Amino acid sequence: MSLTLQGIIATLNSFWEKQGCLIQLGVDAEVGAGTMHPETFLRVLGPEPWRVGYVQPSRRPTDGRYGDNPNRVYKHHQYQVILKPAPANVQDLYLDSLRALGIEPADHDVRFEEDNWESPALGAWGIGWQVLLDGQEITQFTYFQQAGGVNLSPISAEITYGLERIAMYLQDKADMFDVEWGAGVLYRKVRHEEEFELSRYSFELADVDLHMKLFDGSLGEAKRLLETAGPRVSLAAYDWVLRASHAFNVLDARGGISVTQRASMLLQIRKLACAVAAAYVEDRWPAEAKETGARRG
Amino acid sequence: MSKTGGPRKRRKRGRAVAEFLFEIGFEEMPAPWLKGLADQLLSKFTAVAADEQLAPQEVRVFWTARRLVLVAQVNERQEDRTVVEWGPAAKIAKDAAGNWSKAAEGFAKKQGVPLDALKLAPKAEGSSDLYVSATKQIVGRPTGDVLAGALPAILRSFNFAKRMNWDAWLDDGRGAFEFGRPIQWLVALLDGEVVPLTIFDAVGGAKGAARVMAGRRSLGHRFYPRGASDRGFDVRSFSELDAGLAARFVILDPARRRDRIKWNVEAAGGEVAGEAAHLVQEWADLVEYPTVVVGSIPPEFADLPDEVLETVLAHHQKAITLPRGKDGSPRFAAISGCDDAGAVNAAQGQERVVIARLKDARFFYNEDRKRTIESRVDDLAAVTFHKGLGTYKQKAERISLLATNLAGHVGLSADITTAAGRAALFAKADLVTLMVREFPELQGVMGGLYAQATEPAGIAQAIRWHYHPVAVEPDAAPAGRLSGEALETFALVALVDKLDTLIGYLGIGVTPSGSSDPYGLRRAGQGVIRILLDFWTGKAPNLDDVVADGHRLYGASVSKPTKELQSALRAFLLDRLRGVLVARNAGSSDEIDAVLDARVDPLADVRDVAKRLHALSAVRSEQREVFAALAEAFKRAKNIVAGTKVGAVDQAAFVEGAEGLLHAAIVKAESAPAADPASRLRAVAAVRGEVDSFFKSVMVMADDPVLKTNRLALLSRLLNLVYEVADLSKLASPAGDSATSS
Repeated sequence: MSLTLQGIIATLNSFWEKQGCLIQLGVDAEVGAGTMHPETFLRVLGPEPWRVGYVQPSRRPTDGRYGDNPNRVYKHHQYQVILKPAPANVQDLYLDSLRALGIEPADHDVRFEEDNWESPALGAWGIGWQVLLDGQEITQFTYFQQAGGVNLSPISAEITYGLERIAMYLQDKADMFDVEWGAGVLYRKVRHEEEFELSRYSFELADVDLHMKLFDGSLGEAKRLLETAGPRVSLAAYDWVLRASHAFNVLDARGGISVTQRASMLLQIRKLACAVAAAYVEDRWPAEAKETGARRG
Repeated sequence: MSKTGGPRKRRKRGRAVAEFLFEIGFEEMPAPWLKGLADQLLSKFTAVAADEQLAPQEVRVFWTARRLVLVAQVNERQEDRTVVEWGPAAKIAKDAAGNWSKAAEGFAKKQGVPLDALKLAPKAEGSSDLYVSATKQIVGRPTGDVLAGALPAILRSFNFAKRMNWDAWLDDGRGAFEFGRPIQWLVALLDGEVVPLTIFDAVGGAKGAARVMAGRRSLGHRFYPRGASDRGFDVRSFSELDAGLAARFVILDPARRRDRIKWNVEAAGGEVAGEAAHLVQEWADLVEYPTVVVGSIPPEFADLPDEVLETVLAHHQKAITLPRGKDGSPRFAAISGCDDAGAVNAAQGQERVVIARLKDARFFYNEDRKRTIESRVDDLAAVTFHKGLGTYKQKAERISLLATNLAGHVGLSADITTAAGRAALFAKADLVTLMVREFPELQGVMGGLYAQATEPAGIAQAIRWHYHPVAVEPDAAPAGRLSGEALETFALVALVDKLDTLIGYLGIGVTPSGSSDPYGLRRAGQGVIRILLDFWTGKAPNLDDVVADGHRLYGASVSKPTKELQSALRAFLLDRLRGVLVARNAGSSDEIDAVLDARVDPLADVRDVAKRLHALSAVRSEQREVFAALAEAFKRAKNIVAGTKVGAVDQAAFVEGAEGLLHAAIVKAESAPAADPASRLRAVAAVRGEVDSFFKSVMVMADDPVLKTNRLALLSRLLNLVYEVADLSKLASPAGDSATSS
């Protein structure tokens, strides 16, 4: 019996809980990847150890295909693990998690192939691999080097499982919509209509002017918060950065921005993401902020 | 290599020799780096060991994605040696009474030798300046101690394309230790004895606990043999390591991994040549135990064009295309790191991935073919070429006109003129197809395929190839694939497309600088040169005219004045011409300079430049010494004549015999046909004797202005002999030096 999508999530929760991870929930905001969750983006900053796992629904409007494409969707699901500091046996732990899912590596071609991750919008990058299972990428594995422009120490390991891909593999399905989410309930039933409607919205209906205002307004609010005197407020500011980022993604899919505008908007998001990271570090570990190169604004 | 056992004791020239074995085990290192890292390890170790008097021999390196291994024979101890240290000069080292001074005492103490061991001697043989010297006998240290001191520096010496912080620390005084990927284990053995080496944790910017300690324990394959409870094993020597790895599904020697892959591919009916040979190299470094898997693609995809199949297979799945199966279904080979049982799943998985991509491709291909290529030209209005230079629709219209106009100027037939105009107009239309959006590397290719539905073959071919030539070699694509009208149409379209790009970018002041060339302008320039050299069959185009025409078509968006633009493009293309000639090894750099500096516009017809260079290179290699002498003479002649106004030679004004002889020799050489550069060069070579005696016996700058003017005229005529072939003064001569100065 191969696992359902929810069976995979339950298995990973239980596996990583045994490895000392907190089991968290995905961030309650529209994001493109689990990396943008404060449980990753902010927790990897500073010296404190942290272990966490969560499912992150990830929205990428440009990948929307009205539910017509068997491999590509507006919204997919990542299972994200952060291990800080990265334990020396982190690759072995990952391979054990595959065994827990019923994938015995000796029976398959499991390979770690160079793939360094970078998010220009977050001022973040890392060194790592994509993990290939019989030629299919199922996981992104990254040793974080920088987040929000801050050099990290200690180094965190980030493991990002592509849940739909893994489910397709385990259930031997060529079409994502044929995957079983729960026993007898197909992904199609759970998500197909949503794919169609969200694709239609972001490609055809989204109001460009409104999203421009949302973008500018969100960044403005984040900036205002960071500039406000008084006790700590970087988490609230970060929420607004995420909103700006999603507004940008919708505009990108809608074709509402030119190439140069695109570059300049990405730069604005990065500047604020870096400012949030700097404020977060400065608020908590003022002595270290200097050494790690954190810079406000 | 597989004989097991401890290291054998060997003696070389009476000295005991030991085997040093060093293995760095790490998490999967990027495959393309491995060979370079192994080379670095080899050369760094050899240099350090030689420096430390260990007489390294038989140094060999091996690698897999998870390890670098070095094995070498080294002396068991450093060689004992005698070192001479120099101290102060004699007059400082001895006092007036001839006793050793305080300074000398200090020197002896510093060197650790008794005062009576000091000597006075000259530093250089035969010199009368004496200095104090101390001769020290240095007893060699045991090699294990020496290596223990040297290994941290070797570990730290690696250069990586990208290094990572992995919270590690080396106790070598420099602290934080970055590497390509985290190190997992170290084996360092000298004749079976562990050479100590420790990597520590870095905690909060300081040294923490020991993390990896060198020992005798290596690791086998991650997953094989199946069921093993422990992947580690102890070794005493390289032969034990090699045999132990072989028993644990690790093929240490990259050449043997490549062989295994090659046999696998050939057994599946494939061929390992060309691009496949590159892939095999890469495959061999991706996995420790390579097993090739063969996938088959259902016949329903058989009607996809080969270019599409190959793009999906080679570029996206790194697979090698195999000959089709009996039922016509396409087959491919892919790499896996599995044993035979695992390879079954690997093959199925690879097929699944390939089929998913081909399904996308087939959908795009069928959708795209619902419209003609012509109908897409208007859609290009939505695609920006460059923000200052308008859209691709504007570019398509411009290059269509440029092609038609140029065809007229160089006298091409009406048929080709029409074909080139259409091909240029449609050349970019595939940018708005689904296929090219998904597989950008198929731009041009798809346009050519889609055009076949409505256009004649010549037009489709010109569209297919117009982004070429890309590589610099004369036989690179599309050489040999086009002929007749298709070749002429291609050359015209490919040329004006590249020139239009260069005119636009140079016209708004965008030029490549250093390693930054984001718009591929150097490649475009090189393409222009290559088309004119290798694919152009008729009258050479006047590039200044094309620039003027292109400038006119761009209109106000290009603000640079036409004249400036023409000279900017000339300088740019001249640079590319030189680059192509150098890359092709068409002549030595001084020969290239000589030909480019001839009194002919090199861009008037680059084929002529190539022809003259070929002749110069050939004739000079027959008569190297003669051309060296001529280079001298021409340099001299050029310097003398420089800046003076010369008239005709007056034979009646000759005074010295050498003048008349040189004149007669020049007249004779002038009869060699100027259009045949080789015979002109041979004729000039024949004048060498007369030139030499002229310079030996004749004073050019004579006091008598008549003599002087006439001699200058004679030298000028000498220079003119080959000025349309090459400037011989640019050739290197034994005296010197200034082959490339001007």
